[in-house]
Amino acid sequence: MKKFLKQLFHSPLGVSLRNISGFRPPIYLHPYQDQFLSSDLFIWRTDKDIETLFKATDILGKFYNLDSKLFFIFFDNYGKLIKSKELHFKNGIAELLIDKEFIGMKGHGTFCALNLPLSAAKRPINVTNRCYVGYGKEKAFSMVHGNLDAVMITNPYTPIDAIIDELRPAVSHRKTSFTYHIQKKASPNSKTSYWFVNPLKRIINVSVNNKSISLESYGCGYIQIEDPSEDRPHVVQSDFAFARPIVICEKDSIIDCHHG
Amino acid sequence: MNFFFHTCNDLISSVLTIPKFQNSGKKNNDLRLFQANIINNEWNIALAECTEDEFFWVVNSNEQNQNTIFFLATKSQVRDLGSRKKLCKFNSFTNTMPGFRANLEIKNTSDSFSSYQSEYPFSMTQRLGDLYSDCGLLTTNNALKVGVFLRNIYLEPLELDREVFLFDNVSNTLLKKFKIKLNNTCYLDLTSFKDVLSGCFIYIKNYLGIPIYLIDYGNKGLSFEHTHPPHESIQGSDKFNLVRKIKIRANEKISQAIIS
Repeated sequence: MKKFLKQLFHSPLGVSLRNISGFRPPIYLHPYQDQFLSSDLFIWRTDKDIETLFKATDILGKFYNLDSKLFFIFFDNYGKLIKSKELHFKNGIAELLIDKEFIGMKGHGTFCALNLPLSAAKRPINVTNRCYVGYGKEKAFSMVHGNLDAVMITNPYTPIDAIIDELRPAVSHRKTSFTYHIQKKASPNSKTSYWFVNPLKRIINVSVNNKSISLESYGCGYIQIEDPSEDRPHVVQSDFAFARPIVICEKDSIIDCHHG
Repeated sequence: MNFFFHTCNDLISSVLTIPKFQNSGKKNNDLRLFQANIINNEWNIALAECTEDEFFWVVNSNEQNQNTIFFLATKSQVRDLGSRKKLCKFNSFTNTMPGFRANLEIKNTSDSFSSYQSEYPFSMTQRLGDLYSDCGLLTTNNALKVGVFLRNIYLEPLELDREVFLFDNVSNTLLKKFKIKLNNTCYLDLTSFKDVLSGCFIYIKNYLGIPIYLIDYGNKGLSFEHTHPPHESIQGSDKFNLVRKIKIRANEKISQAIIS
C-alpha cells in the first residue's frame, strides 16, 4: 500500500493533483519525465561594456558516449526571441562569448543551452547540464554556475526547428507566495543588484524590500540596491516558487557575481 | 547540517560571512558560531573568533585559521568544548530548501574581489570517495594566475596525505602530481599549465572535497567558483554507475601514464 501511494505521488497524475490541490506541490518537474534535457535560463549582459562568457561540458559525450552539440536560444529582457545558435564541443568543452556584436544590441536578456545528441542513445537521456556563465569587462570574467534547472525539452531527439516550440518550464508554474531572505550582507563599497529570470509561460512578479518588477515569460530583470548600508537582510517576495536571484556586485571595472 | 570554511595564502585573503537566519527568515537566537581545529589528532572545538551583528557572523582569514572549520550550534548541542574524536551532526538549522548560503569573499593584493558560497554538507564528511573535476570550465589562459583550492572536511581528525593528479586528456599525459592533506584547504598553482587546462582534469583517490577554481586578473578582477560533482549533471537510476565509469576511466588513464 505504501509503495503504491509513493508511486502515485510521483506519477504524472499525482504531480497534477499536487499542483492543483497545493498539497506538497513539486518545484522541479523534470524528475517526473522519462527523458529530458534541461537548462538554466541564463542571463546575458552586454550593457556598460560588460561581456558574458558561457562555458559547458559535453555531458552526452562524457556520460553517454554520444557525439553531441549545444543548441542556444537567446531572448531579450522581455522574453522575445532574438536568435538561436548551434555550437560544437572542443576537447569536451564549449565556450561562447556573448558581446554586443554577437547579440546585436547593448542590454540584457536570457538564454538557454541544450546539450543535443547527434545519434540515438542506448539508454534514456536525463541531463541537467548546469554550465557556467561569467560577466566581466576587458575579458576578466567572474564565473558562476547555473542557478536553476529552468527549462527543458522532454524529447532529446526533437528536430532543431521544433525545439523553440517544444521548450517548456522545468519548474512549477503554480502561483505561490515565495519569500526569500538573501543570506548575504550588501557591500557598501560596490553597487549590488539582484537579477531574476522568468522560466514560466506566465508573467511573474518579484519585489525586493518593496521595490517591484514584473517579468515576461523567458524575460529577466534586476533590482538595484539603493542603500547598501542598511543592516537588515534584503527580502525577495514573488508569486514564483523559486525566485532566487543571481547577485552581481560592481565596483569600477570589477564585477563579482554569485548566488544570493 | 553544513560546515563552513575559508582560506588565505600569499595571493588572497578572505572574509567569511555566515547568516544567523535561514532564507525563510527564521532565526534561532540560541545558536552560536563554533570553530573546530585538529590538535594532537583530535578535533578541538571552541567558540569562534569572529565579529557579529544582529544578522551575521563575520570571520577574517589569517595564517592561523586557514584550515579551521565553522558550524552553527547551541551550547547545549555542543555540550563540552575541547577535544573530541569525531565531528557529528549537531542540528539541521542549515538544511533548507532552497539551500542555506554563506558568503566567502576573497580579495587579491590589487583589491579585486570575488565571492563563493562556502558550505560543506555534513553528508560529505562521512565518506571518502574519488574526486574528479574538469579544469577547463573555470580556468583561462588569459589571466595572471590560475589555480584551484581543494577543501576536504572529514569527520575523523585525520590529516593524511593524498595525491592529486593533473591529467591532460588531449595529449594523454600526466602533467603533474601534487600532495595535499585531508581536512585542509590546499591551493594548487596551475598557472604554468594555463594554456592546456581546457583539456585537463583533476583526480584524487580516497578524497571527497570541493574544488574551487581561482582566476586572478590582477586589478581587473577575480573569479572564484567551484565545479559540480559529476553526478549532478545527470539524473536517472543509473547515474552513479555512469559516474563510476568515468572515474574508473580516469584512474586507468593515470595508472597507464604512471607505468609508461
